[in-house]
Amino acid sequence: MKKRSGFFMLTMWWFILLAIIGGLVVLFTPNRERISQDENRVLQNAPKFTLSSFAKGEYASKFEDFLSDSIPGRKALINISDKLTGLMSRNTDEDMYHLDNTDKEVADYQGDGSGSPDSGQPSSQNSGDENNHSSDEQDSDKSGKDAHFELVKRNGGTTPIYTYSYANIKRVAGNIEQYADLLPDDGHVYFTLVPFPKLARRFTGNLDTYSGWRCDVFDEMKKLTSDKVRYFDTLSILEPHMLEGEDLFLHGNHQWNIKGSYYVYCEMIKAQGLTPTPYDEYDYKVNHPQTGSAVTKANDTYELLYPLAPSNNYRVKNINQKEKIPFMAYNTAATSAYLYGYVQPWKTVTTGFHTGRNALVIGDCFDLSLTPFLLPYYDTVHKTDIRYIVFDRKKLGTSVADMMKRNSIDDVYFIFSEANDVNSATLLHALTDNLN
Amino acid sequence: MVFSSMTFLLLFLPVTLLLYSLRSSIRWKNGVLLAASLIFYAWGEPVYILLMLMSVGFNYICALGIDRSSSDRLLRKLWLVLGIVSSLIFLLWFKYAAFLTNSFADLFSLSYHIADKKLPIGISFYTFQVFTYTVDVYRKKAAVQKNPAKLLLYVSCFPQLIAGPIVQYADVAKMLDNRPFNTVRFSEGARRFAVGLAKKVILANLCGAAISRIDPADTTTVVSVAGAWYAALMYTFQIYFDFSAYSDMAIGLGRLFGFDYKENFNYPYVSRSITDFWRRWHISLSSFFRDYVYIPLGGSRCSVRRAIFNMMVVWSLTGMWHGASWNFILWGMYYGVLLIIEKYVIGRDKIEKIPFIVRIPFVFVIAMIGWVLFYHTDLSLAFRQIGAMFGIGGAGMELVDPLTAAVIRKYSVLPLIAAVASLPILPAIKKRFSGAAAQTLSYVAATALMVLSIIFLVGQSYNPFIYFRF
Repeated sequence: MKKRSGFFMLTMWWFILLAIIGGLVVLFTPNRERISQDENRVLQNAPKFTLSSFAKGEYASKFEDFLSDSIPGRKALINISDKLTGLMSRNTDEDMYHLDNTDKEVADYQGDGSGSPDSGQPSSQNSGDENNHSSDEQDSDKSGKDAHFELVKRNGGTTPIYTYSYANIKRVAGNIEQYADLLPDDGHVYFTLVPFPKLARRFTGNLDTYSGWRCDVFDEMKKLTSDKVRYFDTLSILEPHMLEGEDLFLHGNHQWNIKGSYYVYCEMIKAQGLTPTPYDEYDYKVNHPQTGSAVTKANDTYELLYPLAPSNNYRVKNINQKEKIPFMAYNTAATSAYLYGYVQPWKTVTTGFHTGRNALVIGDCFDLSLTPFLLPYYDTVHKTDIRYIVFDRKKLGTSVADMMKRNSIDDVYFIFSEANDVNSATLLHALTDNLN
Repeated sequence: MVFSSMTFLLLFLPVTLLLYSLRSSIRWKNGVLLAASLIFYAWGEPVYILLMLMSVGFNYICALGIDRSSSDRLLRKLWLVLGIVSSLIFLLWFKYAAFLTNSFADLFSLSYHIADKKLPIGISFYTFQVFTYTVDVYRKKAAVQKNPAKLLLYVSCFPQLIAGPIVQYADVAKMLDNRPFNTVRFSEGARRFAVGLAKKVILANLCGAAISRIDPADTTTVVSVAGAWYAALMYTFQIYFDFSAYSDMAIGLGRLFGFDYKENFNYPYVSRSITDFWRRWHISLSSFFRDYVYIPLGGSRCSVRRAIFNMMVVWSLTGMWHGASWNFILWGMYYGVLLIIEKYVIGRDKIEKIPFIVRIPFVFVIAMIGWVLFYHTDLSLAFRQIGAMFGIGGAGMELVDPLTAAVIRKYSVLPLIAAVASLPILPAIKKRFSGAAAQTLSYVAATALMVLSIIFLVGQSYNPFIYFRF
C-alpha cells in the first residue's frame, strides 16, 4: 500500500513539475525581443490574445511556439536531444554531405577550406499548408499587406511556400534604408533573395502541376524604401530560363550555379544603364567534383571564372591587417568555391579596373557566384557576411558603417538565399545590430 | 491541441487534473472534464466546435425520439435514419464531397469541380461515436441519455476526442454516472501516458525524420531498391508508433480521469495472418465496422458470394474512412482481397500449419506494402515506390544509393529499437517479473521516459500526429 502511494506521489510530481515549468514560462518570460542566433530567428514572445487571432488558430500556434521557445534551459535541452539522437548515428563526412543536401532545413554551409563552418538555418521552413514557424515580429502591423511566396499551379491554384508578415517586411525595409542613407547621392542598394535548389526542383520537377513561382515581397518593400533601393526578383528573372529546361541550380550542393547568378547580374547591370559582359567573354575553368567523391553522382560542373582583369582577393582580419588569399579555388576540387574565402567577416577584392567606384556585397554564400561578374564596374568590391554566426565585430575592430566609410562604398548589393529571408534574424536584426 | 504539445503538457493537463481533483462529486468532475474537453477542441480550431455541438444535438434529439416512440417501429426507424444522416452529413460534406464530386466529374469529363475542404480535426472519430450512440439506443443496447451534457461529454471527452480509440456508447455509459478516481488508477494512467508520449516523441518522430530524408514522394529523385524498402520500413514503424502512442496516451489519460477505454493495439507486427493483423491493429475501428456495417449486411452467415461482397464493402469503407482519396480505398480493398484469399481461397486451417517463423515476416512485408499505398495519396508515386522495392522503374536494380546509405547510417540504431519496441517484450517481462521490484522499476523507467520525451520535444518543433487527418 505504501509503495502504491509512493507511485502516486511520484507520478503526481511529474505533473506538478510540468505545471511549475509552465507557470515559470508564462509568468516570468521577459516580454522583449529574444534572438536565437544559432537558428537565425527571433524567438516567439507571448502572443497578444484577440478574438480574431484565436478564431483563426493563430493564437494557439503562437502560444505553443512561445512555450517551446521559452522553456528554461532550452539550449541545453536541445543539445542533449541532439546528442541523444547522435548516439544512433555513425555517419561519415561523405554521409553528412548527402544529408545536408537533402535536409529540408539545409545548412547554409560551404566548406572551402578557408574558414570554419557555419550553420545558419533557413528561417521559415513551411511548405504546403503547414504553419509558418517564422520569426514574425511580435505585434502584427496591419497597415500593409503580408507577402507570399508561392508555386503557381497550372489549374490556377497556388501552393504556399512562405508567408512574410507586413511587420517583418516593414522592419527589413527600414533596415535596408539605413544602408541606403549611408551611400552618396548617386549610390544604390541592389537587393535580391535566391531560393534553394530543392524548391527549384520542386517547381521544375513538377511542370505538369506548376507553371511558375512568384513572391510579392518586393512589391511591398518597394513602397517602404526610397528610390535608392532597387529590387531584383530572382523568381521572375530565372523562371523563363527554367521553363526552357536550363539548369540554374546545383544538384550536389544547396546553391544556384553560375549561370543562374549571371542572369540576375545582367538585370542588375541593365538597371544601372550599363551593358552586361557577354557570358562567353569570360575564361573559366570547369571543375568537376573529385572522382569517387560523394557528389560525383550529382553530375554538377563548376565553372570557375577568371576575372577579366588581374584581381587580388584579401581576407580582412581586422582594420589594420589584411591577408592575400587566392581569387578562386582553382587548384582544389572544392565543390562551390566560386570566390575563395567564404566564411569571413570581411573580404576585399581589388578588381584591376579603374572606375572610381566601390561596392559592398552583403550576403551569405549565394553571392559567391555573382560577385565576380560585378568586378569590371568597381575599383574594389568588398564582401561581408553579416550573419550573427559569421560576423565578428570584435575581431574586425569596427562596425559595417565604419568599414563602408573607410572604403568609400558607392553601391551595396544584398544577395541572400532563402535561409536569410525577410523572416530571418539576419535581415530583421543582424543588418542593423552590426551596422553601427 | 495535441497531447505532445507544450501547451497540453505544461498547462492544460496539470490545470485540468488540479481542478478535477478539487471535489469528489461526479457532477463537478463531469463539469470540469466537459469544459476542459471543449477548450481542448476549440484550441486552434474554435469554429469547428459548432459542428460537433450540432452533431451531438441532433443525435440527442433523435435518440430521445427513438426512446419515446418505442411502440411505433416505423417512427423509431425514421428517428434512427434521421440520427444517422445527421451524424454522417458533416463527415460526408467536409471529407468526401469534393472527392466524390470531382471523381464523378472526371469520370464523365465534366468541368465542374469543387475545392477540397479543410477537415475539422477528429471529425471521423467523433462522428462514429455519435453514430454508435444513436444506433445503440435504437438497438436497446444502451439506455437513452437524457442529460445532453453527459452525451456531449461522451463524445467530446478530450482523451479520445480527436484520434480515438473509437469508444462505443454502451461501453462507457455507466462511467458517465459513476467512475472510480484513486491513486492506483492515477499512477497507472500516468505511467501509460508516459509510455505513449515517448513512443510518439522519440520513436515515431525519429522514424518520420528518417523518411523525410529519403522522401519517397519527391518526384525529382529516383529511389533505389534499398531506399524504397527503408522508407517503407520506417513508415511501417512510424505509423504504428504514432497511432498506438496516441491510443496509449488516450487510455492513460482516460484512466487518470476514471475512464476505462478498450485497448486499440495489440502488437500487430507479430501477427501470424492478415486476419490476426486486423484483430491487433486499430481494434476499435475494426470493431465498429464489424458491429455497425459487416454484421448488419449479413456478415459471413450467408452465401460465399454475398459474404465476399460484404467484406469488400466493409474494407472499401475502412479504406475510405482513412481519407477521401483513391489510395486509401485501394489500401482498404487490398486488405479486403487478402482477407478473402486467406478465408476462402487458402483456408485458415492451411495457414495455421505454416510455421509462425515464416508467417510473421510474411504478414509484416504485406503490411509494409500496404503502408506504401497508404503513404502516397498520389497512386503513381505509390506504384513507383512498390516498383522500386522490386527493382522495377527509374533506378532499376540499383541496390543502394549514397543518400539511403547515409540515412541508414544516420539512424542505424533506430530500426533495431523500433523493432524491439514493436515486439511484445514488455508483457512477457511483466508476466515473468510481477513483484514489487518490477513495479518500482517500471515507474522509474516511465519517469525516465517522461524526462526524455520533454527533452526530445524541446528539440523538435513540428510533430503532428498522422492520424489527425483522418
